Amino acid sequence: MKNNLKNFLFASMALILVFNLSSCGGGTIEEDDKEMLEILDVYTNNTVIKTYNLLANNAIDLFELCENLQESPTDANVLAAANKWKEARKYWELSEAFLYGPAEYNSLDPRIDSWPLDKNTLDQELAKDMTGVDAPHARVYYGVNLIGFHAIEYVLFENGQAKDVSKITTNELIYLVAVAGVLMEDCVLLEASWTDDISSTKKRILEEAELEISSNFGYEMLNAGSAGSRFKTPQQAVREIIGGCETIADEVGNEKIADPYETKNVLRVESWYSWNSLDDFTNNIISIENSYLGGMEGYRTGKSLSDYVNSKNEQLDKDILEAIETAINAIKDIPSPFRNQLDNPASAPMIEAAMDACNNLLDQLSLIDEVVE
Amino acid sequence: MKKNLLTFSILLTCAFFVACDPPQQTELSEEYYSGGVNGTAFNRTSLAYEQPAPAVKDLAAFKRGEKMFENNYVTGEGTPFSGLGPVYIRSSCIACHPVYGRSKRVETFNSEEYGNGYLVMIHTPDGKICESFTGMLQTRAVPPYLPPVDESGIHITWHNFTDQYGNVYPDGTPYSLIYPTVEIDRSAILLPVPDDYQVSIEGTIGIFGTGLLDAITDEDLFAERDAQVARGYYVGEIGGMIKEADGSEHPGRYTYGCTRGTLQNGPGSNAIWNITNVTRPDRNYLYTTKAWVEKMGELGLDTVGFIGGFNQTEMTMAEFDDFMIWHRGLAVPAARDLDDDDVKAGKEIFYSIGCTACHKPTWTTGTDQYIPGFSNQKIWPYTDLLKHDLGMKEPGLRKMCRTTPLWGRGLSYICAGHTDMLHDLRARNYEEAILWHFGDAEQSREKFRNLSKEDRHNLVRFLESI
Repeated sequence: MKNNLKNFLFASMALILVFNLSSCGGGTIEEDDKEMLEILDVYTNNTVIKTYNLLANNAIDLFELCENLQESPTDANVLAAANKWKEARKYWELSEAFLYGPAEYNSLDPRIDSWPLDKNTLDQELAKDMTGVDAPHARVYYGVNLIGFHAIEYVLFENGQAKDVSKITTNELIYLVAVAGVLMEDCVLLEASWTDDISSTKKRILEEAELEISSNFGYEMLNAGSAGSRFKTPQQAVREIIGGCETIADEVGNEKIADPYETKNVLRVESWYSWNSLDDFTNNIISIENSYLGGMEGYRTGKSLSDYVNSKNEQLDKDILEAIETAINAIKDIPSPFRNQLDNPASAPMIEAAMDACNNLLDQLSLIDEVVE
Repeated sequence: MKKNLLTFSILLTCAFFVACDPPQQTELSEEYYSGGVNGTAFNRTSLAYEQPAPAVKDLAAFKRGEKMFENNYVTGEGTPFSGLGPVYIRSSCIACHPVYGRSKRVETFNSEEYGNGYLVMIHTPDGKICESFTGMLQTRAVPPYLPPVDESGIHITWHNFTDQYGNVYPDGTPYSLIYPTVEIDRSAILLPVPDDYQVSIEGTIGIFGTGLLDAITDEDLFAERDAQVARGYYVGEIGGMIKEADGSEHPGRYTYGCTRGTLQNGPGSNAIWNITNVTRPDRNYLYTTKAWVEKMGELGLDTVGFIGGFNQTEMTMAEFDDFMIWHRGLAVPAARDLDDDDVKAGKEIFYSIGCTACHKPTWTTGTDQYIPGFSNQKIWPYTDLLKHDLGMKEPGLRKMCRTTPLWGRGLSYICAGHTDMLHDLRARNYEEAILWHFGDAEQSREKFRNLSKEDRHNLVRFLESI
């Protein structure tokens, strides 16, 4: 009895101690905040900044290859620039689960990736004397429908292939170098808006373009809940991650795939000249995966949102991971190029399955809100 | 002792488990539901201004309408979102409403810069738009057409303003205020203009909640005006009667000048036509002036249909209906942190120093024919929807401005990355916005100036929370 009583007392006190330390929800507020900050650290440094770093690096390479093409117009140089466009494009699409923050309020998203291209105005521009047209000119005088990835794509690609160099005019090369310069500057600005740890080359690019950095958003994510951050709690910042993932899952399923499919209008297909659409969509879903698992493929270390969800609701974590995988596979099942499938009855089940998979992913992601208190 | 210890231990354990029952869902007070139960979304992320209200039933139409707001219109025919121009102000709605919110203050006018939502007006000294120009100046045109004004000739200058107290609170804390003046080089103006022309700018406001404001009855609006007349101070002016297509008339409640009476004929339904000049069956004509059309004719350009309208239009009524479902259906973000002690203290100050005289906290909507769920909702917009004179230095075209709704404004920094306010965005934060309240509101301004630093902070915390 004594022993029993002693055990009971110890058990009671221990239980109280444990609960006091861990609080009712499975972690004290301090522990929960700490866990959230760890997730934000991995996400900010290893997912977002890493992706933007690779995007900016590739955009710089792309600009140089476009300059090279202008200096020596050959089929090989068109191909080199076109391949680099695809690589840079990949990192942009891998960033679309985090289009909030600087990408949004500094208008870098529309500047980097607006569709449709204003081809009529562009054709009129290209018919003019283009002497003196360069990146500073394009930055001031060209609207978002004349710059960005699709402007470059228009010059470099035709029917899904690198264009025959004989079909690229001198004016188009001038335009290409100008808009590739703006794209490079905007991609570097995007990286610099999340971290001040950028290379000297990138610092020089920003200085020469006279671009100002409005905030260090990465710092604000890493210091959520502290002075200097717009996020009053770490949970608020983590909710941005979830919101970013939900937004792109919705956009891929209900806009990027659904709009052209439902209207049967091939002009609604993004990345129309390069036929890169399906890669774009797949990379968008991988962007969600990277946000959820932390880091990027082959570069995953530390605490992730997935770990946190798993600790609170193991089944939900499994469902989300499965929904991501299903969406990626469903998109890959659509025959390429997407633009040729809109009227093809044989492709309809695959297209609809991909739309359903994205919507299922959206539904699963929306359940995380119940876990992150 | 052992018994006591046992009892203590049992009690402590029980007490702990009682305290640790799954957290009860405390019912939120009605004040959290800024847009009423059916018009409020609980989201405080950067997506807070973009949510559909719970009352919206056709979410597919809402999404289609959203895309029309977000996408850029392009020139020519056949491609998606075509029909821009031949003369226009911006190529998209979102360019002026960053992240669906209000526009930001800029130093240099560039209509291609997203977030710069300034609309420019060329007017006479007594406030009439000069007849060569549209009410909102067009600075873009599709080649070979030329815009009425080359926008590189627009110059915004920001000046420091010092009040009668040398910009110092009684407690010694300094503050800073700025205001804009705008000029356009005569050489940048293509059309005839009187010698004494003046130029003003106005920023855009947010879009959410406008459907709920539409559901407030005219009778309640008149009653508020009558109540203010009866009280004899801070008396607001109601908007003029606006005639609608169906012949009915309603007092203006939208825009800074209260120049629009209903949402169906409101700033958004108008803007998606006249900002882009994308025509639709109920607006099958160009937003332009005779002077501009004649000038283009002189230049030898085709102007067929520019005056009098077109047979074919660029947007269908079905598309416009989707746009309006989205426009009406945007939810108001729920209020936040109202139970925080600082916020509660700030609320007391808000109610005690006269802010509510014009920033009327709440209304109850009438019957809404468009979104039935918006009917009979108690909403918290903090506006009387009437015009007041804030006695500002260089107010520009509008001396009298509608009391701007305060709901959701505290999320502007999270959503749109800035906290600029007032009709020309001269206030860079809440504090400066309050300090620009001269004229009708000067007494409240004085009370604010005489608050302690902590009370001023708490008042701002309350404003950030609603």
